[in-house]
Amino acid sequence: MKNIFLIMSIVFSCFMFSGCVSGQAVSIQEAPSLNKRALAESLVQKDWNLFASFQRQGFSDRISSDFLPDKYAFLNEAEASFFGAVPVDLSFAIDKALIKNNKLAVTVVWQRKTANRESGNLTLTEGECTVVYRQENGQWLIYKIQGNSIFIF
Amino acid sequence: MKNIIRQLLLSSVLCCLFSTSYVFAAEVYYFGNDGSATGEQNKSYPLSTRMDDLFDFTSDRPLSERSGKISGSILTQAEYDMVSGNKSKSFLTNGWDYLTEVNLNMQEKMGSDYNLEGQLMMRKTDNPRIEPRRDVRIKEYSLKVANPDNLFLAGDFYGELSPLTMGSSLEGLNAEMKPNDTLAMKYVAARIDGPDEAASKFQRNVLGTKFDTFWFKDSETISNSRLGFQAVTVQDDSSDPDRTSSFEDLRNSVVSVDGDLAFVRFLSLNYELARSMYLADEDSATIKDQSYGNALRVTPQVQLGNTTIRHLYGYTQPKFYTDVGSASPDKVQHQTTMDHRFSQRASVSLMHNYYWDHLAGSSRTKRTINDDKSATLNFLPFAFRESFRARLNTGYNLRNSDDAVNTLESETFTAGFGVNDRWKETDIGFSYEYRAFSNRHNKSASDFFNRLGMTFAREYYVVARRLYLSLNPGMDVRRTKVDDNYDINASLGFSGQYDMAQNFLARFGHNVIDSNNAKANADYTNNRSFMELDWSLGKDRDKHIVLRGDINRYMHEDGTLNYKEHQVILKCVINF
Repeated sequence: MKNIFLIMSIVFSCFMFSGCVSGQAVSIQEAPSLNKRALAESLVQKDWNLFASFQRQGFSDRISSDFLPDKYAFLNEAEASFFGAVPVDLSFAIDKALIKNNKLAVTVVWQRKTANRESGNLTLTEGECTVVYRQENGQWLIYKIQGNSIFIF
Repeated sequence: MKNIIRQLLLSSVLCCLFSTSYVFAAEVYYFGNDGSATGEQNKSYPLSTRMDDLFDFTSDRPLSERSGKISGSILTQAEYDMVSGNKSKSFLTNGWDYLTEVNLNMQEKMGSDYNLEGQLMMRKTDNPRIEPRRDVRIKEYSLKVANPDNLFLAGDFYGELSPLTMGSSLEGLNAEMKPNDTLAMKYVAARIDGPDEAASKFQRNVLGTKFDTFWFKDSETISNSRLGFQAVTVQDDSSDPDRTSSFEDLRNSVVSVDGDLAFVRFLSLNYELARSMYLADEDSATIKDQSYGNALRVTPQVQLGNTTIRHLYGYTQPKFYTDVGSASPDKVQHQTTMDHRFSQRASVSLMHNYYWDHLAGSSRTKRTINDDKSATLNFLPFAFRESFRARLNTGYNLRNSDDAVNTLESETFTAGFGVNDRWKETDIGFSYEYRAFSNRHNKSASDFFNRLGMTFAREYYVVARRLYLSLNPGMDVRRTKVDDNYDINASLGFSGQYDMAQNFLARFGHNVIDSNNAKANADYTNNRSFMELDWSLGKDRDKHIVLRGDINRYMHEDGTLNYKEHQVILKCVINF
């Protein structure tokens, strides 16, 4: 019962707050900190979806040719991970999204489920990594991954 | 240090906004008399106008028509999770989780062409999957003063000097200055990580500097010539959290020379030569010697008509170490790529990547040589059907090892094709890929895949409202060297969105994985469904109430592994 009241009060507070700020018409496009977080979330989700149905060439297209330290070694590792286990699910939260010139560094806290290809048994893994994207010809491509990569298992 | 920086930043922001001395000075003090973010000179604004502009949340005026603004968002979320069955296979726990996030962004035009920008992102949650601590956490903050040539920042930033020296998310101070067209400077004083007793880590600090000089500005043959010098030192702060801690106390320094040289036509070159010093633990009683290593990266690129050829030569000694840069120690690499466009309808990409390890001084027991080759052909085969696109690709990887007994030898061959088209307002895609992996040391680990993938996506109008549907079926057929049986993994992804009203959207989806394995007692299915209702409020629909339900069912032939997850999420977002 206590929880229900808490939920109701949160919803009510939001409505109250939305009333207070009604008429605030500032476009989200003008708030860089909001845009970059939304962009970061969509990029990580998009790349995970692509990885979950891995096609070597399709995934390769998402990696910058200047990937550090080596694009094709990373691609081989990601490919070996995919063919070693079935990516079942990824949930994540964006901790930081730092934009600098043509780079976007996204720090992600993630939880991942993978299924063994022979036994079907699930493995649960948690980690944190920073995925650095670089904008090239209008596209944000993976430039570098530091920490526990979501694509390597 | 973290707390001090945060306190300083917060107090400086608050002081700027609310300090009475500033307010009293308002009538006579002008932040500047000209300016904007793009190098244009900012106009002059009295402080009263600045305050009015800053706290004007009701008008539609963009930043170009005002002296400053505050924008942001507030998110509150309540999530109810319910797990049944084998709970060890779920990250969720039964019960409620709450999340509140506040994003603030402040922009203010200053004197000349300088702009001030502040950002703050705070989070409070009791959800351990998002945040291990329950107090209010400042996840990201920064205060920046910048014009097109100079930047002064305190807070979180992405610090970058060169590939081998620094490229990392940092928290601290950053300054970048360009006094003239031939010189640019960068300074970084920050920390990489805070102290972490649970992970046995000291706070790790970093200091870095870079000088770039630009040459041949007026040359008619050279379009870009840059020579850079950079130095970075990384040091664990053994007094934080506690001087008596027995954590590893790292010390690492890297110096490098890098540069670009691009001719107006044909040739360009990028290079970096670095030397590192590394000591894993300064306090170690046994390891006192610092190790030194060198690294080199050279990337020439030739452009001849429709052909681009690029070569990467990399040489990294085994003892080269860079804590905030990027390098693969103990490696020599030759990577060549060639892209050629035959016509507007056809292009080809070729790649050869050859690298090996076990250089002089290596701690590895054997040398492994990797030889990667790939070719990709993209084409539009039909002039009368521009939407039809096709791609052929093939790849070959050979890994050789000079230890015959404990070898890592393997061979991987990949070949595939994909086509995409738009037919009767439906986007259609089909792809096929074959992959053969042969482990020469342990043949039972070899496997062969045939993989199919399809996509269908279309927009409809139902009762004059847009309905978008997407369907993605796929299938993997796997065979091993152990027997002739097949592991078949079928998947189906379905998602859609229906714009039920101008301010009311419904999103929905279902994803199923059905795995039939040759091994006994190993089949499973995983079904995940969701439904989301998004109600936009306000004149500009900048407030959202989102209700989402998720169901996830994992059913294994071994019933003890089964579990079900139910999630209900209520989210309110206010953008201002």
